[in-house]
Amino acid sequence: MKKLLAIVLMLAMVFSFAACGAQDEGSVDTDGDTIKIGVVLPFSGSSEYVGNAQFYGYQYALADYMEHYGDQLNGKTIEFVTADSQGVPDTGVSELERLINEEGVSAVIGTYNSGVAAAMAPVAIKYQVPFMVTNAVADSILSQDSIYLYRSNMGDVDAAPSYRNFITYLNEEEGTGIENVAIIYEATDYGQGARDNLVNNVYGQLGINVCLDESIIADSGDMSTVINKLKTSGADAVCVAVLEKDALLFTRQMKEYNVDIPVIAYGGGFITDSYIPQAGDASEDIIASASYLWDEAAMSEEALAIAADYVANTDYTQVTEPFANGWLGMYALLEAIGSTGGSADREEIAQACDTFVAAADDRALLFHPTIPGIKYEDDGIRYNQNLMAGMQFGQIQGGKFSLVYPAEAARAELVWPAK
Amino acid sequence: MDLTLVLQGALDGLLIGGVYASVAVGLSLAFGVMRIVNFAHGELLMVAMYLAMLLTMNAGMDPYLTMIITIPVMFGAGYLMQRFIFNPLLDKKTSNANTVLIFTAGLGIFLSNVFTVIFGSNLMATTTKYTSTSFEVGKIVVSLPRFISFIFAVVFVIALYLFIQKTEYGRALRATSQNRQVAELMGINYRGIYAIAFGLGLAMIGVAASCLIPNASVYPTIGDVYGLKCFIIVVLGGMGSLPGALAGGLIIGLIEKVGAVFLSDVTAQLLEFVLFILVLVFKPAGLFGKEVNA
Repeated sequence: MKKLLAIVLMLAMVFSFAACGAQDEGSVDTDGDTIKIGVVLPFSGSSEYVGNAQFYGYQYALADYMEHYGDQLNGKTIEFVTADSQGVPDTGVSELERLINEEGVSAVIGTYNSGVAAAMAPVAIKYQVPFMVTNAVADSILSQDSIYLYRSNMGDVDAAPSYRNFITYLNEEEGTGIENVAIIYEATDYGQGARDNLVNNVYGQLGINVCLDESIIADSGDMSTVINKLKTSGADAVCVAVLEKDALLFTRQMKEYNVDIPVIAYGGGFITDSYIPQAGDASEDIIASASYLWDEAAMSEEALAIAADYVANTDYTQVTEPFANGWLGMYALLEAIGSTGGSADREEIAQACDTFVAAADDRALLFHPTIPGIKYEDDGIRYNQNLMAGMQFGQIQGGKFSLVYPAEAARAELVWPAK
Repeated sequence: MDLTLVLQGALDGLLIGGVYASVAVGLSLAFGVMRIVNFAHGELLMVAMYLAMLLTMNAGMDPYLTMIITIPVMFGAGYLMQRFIFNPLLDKKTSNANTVLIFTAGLGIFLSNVFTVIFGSNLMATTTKYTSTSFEVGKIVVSLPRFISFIFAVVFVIALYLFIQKTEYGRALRATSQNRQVAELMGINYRGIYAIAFGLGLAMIGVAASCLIPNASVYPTIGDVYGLKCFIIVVLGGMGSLPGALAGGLIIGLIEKVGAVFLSDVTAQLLEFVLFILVLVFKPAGLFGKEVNA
């Protein structure tokens, strides 16, 4: 009797584990009326502000897609299942596993933070769940050849050719005579990555001398010495890679110490919606690079209407990079799902992303008028990267950004020497 | 190396060091009198900075004028905290200064999170008539807001020192810090003295907050920046020593700014920690160790 009981218990255990295993695979309800998309973003922590902005980009993209192409889903609806990464890689991974195993999502989108996306990428591949990376620019995220990973906005290495072209344009077309540059960057992954890219892949290749190469502690509250070193460095321009708090501090202290070397900002804190209002006149003429810059003159009527609605109904004062890249990534994912006729099957969605192609007039690019299209390709460093996504350069003129490069997309004359 | 750059760094270091000192004296005072290590010191500064910032942005007050609000409010907050939270904790037989230490560590995290919920993680900054203004002395540029802040900070630190040295309350405070039991036998209400001491420490935070906002932006985790620096300053100057806190602040300012002339900003700040370790190993009482008791 005891043996029989033991066998029964053992079998019960085996079936229990088997059941757990089946649940772990995270089955998707492909016959239901809802397609679940997992959203992993930093809804709390230091990236909360930009995380929420990116989520608005997703929501506006979904609303627009449903209005214009909702019939392609054959009556199905899209449901977002949100997860807070807190900007922490481990949290992002555990939340991703929850979305896959417990929520049964058909695809995942996120994460704004590169570190989180890089940690999540192998997990998405393991579970064979399509993962659309938005905003996170680290190229290591797409280092594995897999049909489950995609990125529609630019990556780190795309900055280098854009910068080389821009500096060459400045010297050859605008006669700026940049021979010596200074680089100031915060001692973080973002700052160090920007610095390495500029030194090795931009100025090194252009034969331009880097006369000052200075790292700073992020959020240290004072940059006076670095700015005074810059003042005596003989630089014709300074490239700055710092986030919001230091961008404001840098701008103010440049004015305080009467330093008028032209600034070319490597995105970061210079392109947030709060930067110009807080920096005021001191920000005038600053040039910034980004995968997206808000320039009203470059936007279509439809984009302006959506932006106006966004500003009116949220706490944000303008469309910024997180929103625009969120819109781009989500729209591209929805169009891929739409091309399947509204399939909730992960494999079908992944295949649809793999073959997805969009032209410049696609609504996914409504906020990216300088990107000529979307096509996920390999370049030897990354797999499934939209290689058409590049960098824009804008200059603050009259209290707002105006696109000044690429030349064909420029909406304003470059002011040089910039104060 | 350009001498002007070194002199500029030295001046900037002294100016910012004075403000550091005004933040650090509160921490030093709390340790000197109550033997309390206040891990929420940076976060309490953050609270005071938000108060000063809101007064400047919403009530249109001059940043330095906000001291008439931040000083009494922070003094009151400190007095009440000591009176109704720390004193009862210290009186319990099952608790001691370590209990308060752990409490303040939790309080710091709590305050940081509460302010994130209220104000979000984004920074808040104000532009005043002082912002980005400066004057020149020879080739040296003097930041006007930093100069004014330095004057205010040092004047208040000296005033606090004189208060402790020259007044009856100060005498009672020093007596309590030297020997609580004997002071109590002399008729001193040590609980009241503790509350005043902690209140004074937080009042100095009020001074520092008003001095910082013309230059600095405010966000919920800014306490981390200044809190850590304060510990280095207090250890360097001598735990409990007000002159030590002033000297420590100025030294740290000089190391940061002059060091950054010769080294990178990151390496210069690393020097602070090297100094911190060296002081702990070779002179644990700090540079003004003889004046451990305020």
